Amino acid sequence: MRFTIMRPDLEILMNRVITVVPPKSTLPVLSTVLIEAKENLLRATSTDLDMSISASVACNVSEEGSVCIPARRFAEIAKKLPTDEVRIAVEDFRVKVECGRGKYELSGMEAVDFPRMPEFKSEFRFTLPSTVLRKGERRCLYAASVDESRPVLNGIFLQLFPTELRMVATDGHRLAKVSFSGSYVKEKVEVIVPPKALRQVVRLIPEGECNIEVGVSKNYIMFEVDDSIICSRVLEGPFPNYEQVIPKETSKKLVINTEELIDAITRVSIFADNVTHQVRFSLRSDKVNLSVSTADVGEGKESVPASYDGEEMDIGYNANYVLEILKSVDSDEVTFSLNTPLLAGLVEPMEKEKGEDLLCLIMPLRLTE
Amino acid sequence: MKIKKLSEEVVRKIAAGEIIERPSSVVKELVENSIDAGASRITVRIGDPIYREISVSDDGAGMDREDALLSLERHSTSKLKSEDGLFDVRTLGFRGEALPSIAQVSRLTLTTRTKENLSGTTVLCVAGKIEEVSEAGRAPGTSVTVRDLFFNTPVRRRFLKSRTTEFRHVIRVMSSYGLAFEKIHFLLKQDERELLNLPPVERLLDRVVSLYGLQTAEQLIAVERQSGDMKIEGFVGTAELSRANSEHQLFFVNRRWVACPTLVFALREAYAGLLPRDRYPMCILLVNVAPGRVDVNIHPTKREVKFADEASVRTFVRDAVRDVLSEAAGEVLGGIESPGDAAFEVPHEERPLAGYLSTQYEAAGQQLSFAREAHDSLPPSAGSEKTSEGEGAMVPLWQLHRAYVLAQIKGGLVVIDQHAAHERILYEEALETLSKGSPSSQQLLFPLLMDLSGEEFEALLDIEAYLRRLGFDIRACGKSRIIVRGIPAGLRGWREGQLLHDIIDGATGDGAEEQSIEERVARSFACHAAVKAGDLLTLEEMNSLVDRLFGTSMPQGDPHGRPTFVRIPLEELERRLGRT
Repeated sequence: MRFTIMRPDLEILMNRVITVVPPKSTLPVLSTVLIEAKENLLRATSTDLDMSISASVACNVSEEGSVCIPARRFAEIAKKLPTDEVRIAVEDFRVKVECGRGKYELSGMEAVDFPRMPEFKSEFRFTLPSTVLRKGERRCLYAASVDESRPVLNGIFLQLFPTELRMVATDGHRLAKVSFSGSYVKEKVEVIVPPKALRQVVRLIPEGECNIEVGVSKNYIMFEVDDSIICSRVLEGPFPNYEQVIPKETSKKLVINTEELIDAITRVSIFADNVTHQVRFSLRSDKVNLSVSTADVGEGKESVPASYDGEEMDIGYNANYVLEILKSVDSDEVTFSLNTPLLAGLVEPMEKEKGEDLLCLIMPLRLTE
Repeated sequence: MKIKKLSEEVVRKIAAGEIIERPSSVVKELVENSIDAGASRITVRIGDPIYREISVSDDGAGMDREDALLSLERHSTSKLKSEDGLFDVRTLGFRGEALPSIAQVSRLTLTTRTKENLSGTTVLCVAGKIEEVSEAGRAPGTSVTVRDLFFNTPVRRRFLKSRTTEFRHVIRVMSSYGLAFEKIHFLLKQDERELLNLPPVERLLDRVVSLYGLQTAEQLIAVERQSGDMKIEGFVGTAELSRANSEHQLFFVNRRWVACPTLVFALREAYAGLLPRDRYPMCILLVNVAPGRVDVNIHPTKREVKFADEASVRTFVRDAVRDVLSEAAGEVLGGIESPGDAAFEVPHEERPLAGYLSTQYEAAGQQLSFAREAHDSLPPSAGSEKTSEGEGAMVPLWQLHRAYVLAQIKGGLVVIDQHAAHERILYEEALETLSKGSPSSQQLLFPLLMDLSGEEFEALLDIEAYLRRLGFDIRACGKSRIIVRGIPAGLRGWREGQLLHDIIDGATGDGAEEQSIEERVARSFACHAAVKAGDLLTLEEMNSLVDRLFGTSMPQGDPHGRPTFVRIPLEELERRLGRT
């Protein structure tokens, strides 16, 4: 195998795929990247067995071939070489890299050893504007669970209906659900996407946005973003029936400035218990009083102006949960729709973005008097 | 002092004591008699307190007047006719000791009738002496009512454990025989409260479902194998279903519920490498061997058995279980080509630097520079800010092998066992919460429905109030089913309710009786909710662990007395590295 490529192109290519390479692996071939040179196209593929990213870039191929190259060192040298033409030649799994006055040699591995994703047979195919996935990720990724005991909650539930696309994530303590209107499919499609796959997709969206081709099969989902293909296992369902936990009616409504609330919570939570992160919200008609009192630490109080139409009520929340919700919302004001201090609260942006509907649920902490 | 021969009565009481240790022994012996009598329905009623009254009635063969009287005499039985029979036991009983032994330590009423006789017989027996014999009407079968158990052996009564413990023993006896004889209808009532109702079913699995609930039953793996005259059937639990003690391991040999080290050992071997040392797989295993190949006459209660060929039984059971386990594992792993590595999948942007560093160092010395870079970019506030108020110059550095937290201290290094340390913290916090009661309870978006076994449910009733005070929002909803609406805020390792099973097991297992309930609940909670070796900790979590550990009253040891950390002074390092 023999090819030449401009150094910046090689760096871009490696940057696209390197993030999937596991930092440590029992399987040596996983710390390599598969490089294939064919018809003046250089393709790089990395995998961690759960997902793979494959990207390609144009180059000058004088002899076609493929080999596995130690990923980190190869990416590092691609970044540090002078901006010039890089000449790469592989003989007997010795990878020779030449650029400017530098000469480097790495030992590669046989391409056939590289674990390839099974051939993808999509049951559904559709095209999404990248803005939808970018926004969806921002709106709900934080709510996905990181506890491995219930794997289905580790994922983002992607639901497509003939007139809307919905993304839902929950860890059983809070939930985020965002819907975008748009006609992307003819029949309903449901799939649970691992967050790391979604993060990679969003990372690869080029400036100026693009369309993303999506394919869904029984066990896999594939995204074609720009010149990259991401293929990931999906999580096995069923996703819990989230509709039934969204309160249909609420008796109290609070409207409050998002930024002011974020700032106040951030301050008082410095004094919160670092295990429970509990903050007490005392709802009054024209304000919300925030307070924490932690043994051995101290106390903190803040007051944020607000408009509240219910009877006075104290309710406890995990400060981090509230902050994550507030930071995911792009609205100057948010509304909290509540019932009792033990029931789910609904948090929604006051100003909805066009074609988008966002709803967050948060379960309170039971306070003790 | 002169040696005197014990009086006949004392001898009899001693012998009775060997068989009848506690109320559940009465239930066991009488239920076995009913099963041997061919009953299709066995009803057990217990009083509260349990020694007040225990009655067992069945629709079995019954006895005529002569047999009824004879049955109350020692060593009289219809089940064994000669010495040879002793080596070929096919019934549960055979020693002819049960009934007279029970009669010896209680006021016992025996009412029985055979199908052939039109009227039955009632015998009243007090402390082993027959007081009254009369005719009585009864459907064919036998009822035995035992009142005032141990009234003449006050010491024995004083040794009875708490009410719920004794109930649990009875439930366990009934459940066990329920599993061994799925075609018999078992009913257990405490006065009018139904504790257990097991209608006859066709398959063992149906019994398992009615005893353990569908959730558990779905995670059991069926075992079935026959080789020569040895046969095994039943179920074993997946590794996820493992428990904190061996109470959920049930073994039967020729349908006799036994405690048999050989079988326990075979099971352990079959699970070798699948479970940590302190986890016990669940099992219900019925082993059948030719009656002549097993000796049940080792202990008067017949709970212990010995096989003629221990080694071959052990191998047979081990292989049968191991094979189904590996089959089941194959099903789960089917889609995965190689062991995945969860280590690098770091949730969200919060990068647990410590774990990251350790993996880097492990990977190879050549990557040191890479790790160093990451270390340098550590936000300066993260490490130093918190520790400045806590333990002086203690700076957590990183997590070693996901089991130990290394921290720099003045003049050296401490190595903290993350599990032991967390256990100490949770234990003290739990005790404080239990006494002061200020739990912060995270409400759940999806309330969790959990099926408990009858035994667990009774045990839970005992500690429910304490769990509530810890922040568990638990409510009973139907028979042996509970709903969990909230869990202690910041709880780790909830594992969709598995934690609750573990806490119940740990807080109620035998041998925990000497401690107060608060103590037991706190210990069990701390032990099971603490982070384990293998759990990745973030820098923030490590800081918090160190701060909280040194805020406890006894940071140097966990509640079991194991050390939580070791200190390595610089002098020792210097000495070992030859710098002095």
